[in-house]
Amino acid sequence: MFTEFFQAVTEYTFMQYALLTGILAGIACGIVGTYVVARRITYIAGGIAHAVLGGMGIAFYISVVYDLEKLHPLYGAIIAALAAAVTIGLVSLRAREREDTVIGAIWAVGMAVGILFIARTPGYNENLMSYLFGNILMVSAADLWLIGALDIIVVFIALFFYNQLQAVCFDEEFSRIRGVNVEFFYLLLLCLVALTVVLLVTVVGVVMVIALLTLPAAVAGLFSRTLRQNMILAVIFSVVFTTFGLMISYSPNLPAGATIIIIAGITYLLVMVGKGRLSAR
Amino acid sequence: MAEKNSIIVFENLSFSYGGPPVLEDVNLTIGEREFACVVGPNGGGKTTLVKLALGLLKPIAGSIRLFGKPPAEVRSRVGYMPQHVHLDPKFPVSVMDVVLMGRLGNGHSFGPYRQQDKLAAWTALREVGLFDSRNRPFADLSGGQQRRLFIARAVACEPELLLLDEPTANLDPKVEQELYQVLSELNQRMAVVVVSHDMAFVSQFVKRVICVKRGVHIHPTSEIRDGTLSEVFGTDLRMVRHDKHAGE
Repeated sequence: MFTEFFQAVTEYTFMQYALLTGILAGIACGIVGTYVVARRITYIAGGIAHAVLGGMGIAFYISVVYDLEKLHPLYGAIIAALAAAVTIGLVSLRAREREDTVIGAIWAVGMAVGILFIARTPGYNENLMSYLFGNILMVSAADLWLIGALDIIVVFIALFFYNQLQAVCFDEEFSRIRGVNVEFFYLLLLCLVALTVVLLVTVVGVVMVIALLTLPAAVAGLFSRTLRQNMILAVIFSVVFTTFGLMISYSPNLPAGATIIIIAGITYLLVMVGKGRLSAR
Repeated sequence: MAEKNSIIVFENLSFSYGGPPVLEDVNLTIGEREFACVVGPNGGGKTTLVKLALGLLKPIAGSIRLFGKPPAEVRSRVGYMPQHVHLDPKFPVSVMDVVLMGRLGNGHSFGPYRQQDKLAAWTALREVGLFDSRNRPFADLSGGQQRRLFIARAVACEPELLLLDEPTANLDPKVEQELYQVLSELNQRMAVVVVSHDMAFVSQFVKRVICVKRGVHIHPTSEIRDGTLSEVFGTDLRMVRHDKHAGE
C-alpha cells in the first residue's frame, strides 16, 4: 500500500508539493499551536479559522467576475484572518465579558459571507468544498511560494519574540509591570494565529483547521516540561500527522485532510488514555 | 514632607473606581530598607494602594511619587509579585523560565536572554532556596514553592523595592513563617512591602504595619497589641478572619 505512495512521490510533482506543504505548515502549526494551547485561546483560533472563508469567497468572486487571475483566494484569506484576529483581540482587551459572543458572531458571519459569494460566482465551481475541507493535492508551485513566505514570517516572529510571548501568555499582569507591551503582544499572537490558520487551510480546510492547530500541541504538551520542548515536539507531531495522512489516504483515494485529522485525533485519544492509565497506577 | 530617601510618598491621595471613594486623603511615606505590611479588610483598598503605587491606576486627588518620580516612569525598579489567582497552574514552563521573566525590561527588549540575565536568575533562585529545582516544571511545585518562585522572579528584576500582593494567601502557617524569613533576609538589601490578609505571623519580622480601610493608619510593630487591630477595624477584621477559617 505504501509502495504506491512512495512511487507517486517520486513520479508526481503534485505529491511532492503536497508533502512539502504538510511539512511547511506543520512547522508553523507546532510553534503557534503551542501558544494557542498554553494560552487556552482555541475558541478564538476557531473563530478566526471560520472567518477566513469570507475572505476566500470574496477574493474568489472578484477574481472570476473582474477577471483578476492574480487575486489568489489565499490573499483574501490572509486579509480576513488578520481582520478577524485584530477585531477579536481588541474586543477581548477592551470588554472582556462580551468576548465569546463576538467570536461566535465572527465565526458564523464569516462563513455566511463566504458561502454567499461563492454561490454568486458565475460558472461551475467546486471551490467551496476544497475551501471547507482542504485540498492539499491541488497545491501549485505558486501556492507553495506563498505558503513558504508565510511560514518564514510566522516562525521568525514567533521565535524572535519567544520570551515576550511566553511571559505575556503566562502572567499578563507581571509582564505589564516589566514594561512589556501586553496589548501589542496579545494582538501579535492573534495575528500569528491568523497567518497559521491560513497556512493550515490549504492542508485541511476551514472546518478542520482547529484540530490540526491544537492536537499536535496538546499531544506534545503531555510530554513537555517547557514551552520550548512543547514546540519542538508539536512540530514533529504535526509533520508526522500530515505525512502519515497523505500516505494512508493515497492508495484508497481517501480525502487527505480528513485522514490527517483522524490520525491526529486517534493519537491524542490513545496518548491521553495511556497517560491516564500510567498515572492511575 | 518627601524626605530624600523615601521610596514611596503618597500625599493627600484619594481614589475611587467611579463610585464611592475607595481611598480617602491618604498620606504615607515608605523609606529605604523599610519592611512594612499593609493589612486591612477585604475591599478595604489594599490592592488599590499597590496599583496606585505602580501607576496602574490614577488618583482622583493628591499625588504619588515613586523614587521621587511619577510611578509609571520608574516602575521597572520595583520587584512586583501580583496576586496569582489568574495563573494557569498547568502552563508548560520551567522554574528557570519563570524567574527569567523578571529580566524582561532590564534593558532587555527582545531576542534570547543574555548571560547576565541567567546569572541574576540563578542568584535569585539561590536566595529563595529553589536553585536545585530550577529545571523542574512549574506545575510540579507546591503552593509554598510557587510563592518562593514568584519572589525569586521579583528579585531577579534587581529591584530597590519588593512589592508583594498577598504572598501568603492559602499557605499553612509553617510555610508562611519560612516565607517571611526569606523576605526578612532580602530586606537587608531592599525595602519590602507586603500586602497581607493576616497579621498573625507577621509582626516579628515587620517594622511597620499600615492599616488600610479607606483611610490609612500607621503603627510601629512594637505598638501592636492584641486589641489594636480590632480597635481600628471593629467588626470588619473579625469578619475577615471568620471568613478565612470558614473557607479552610
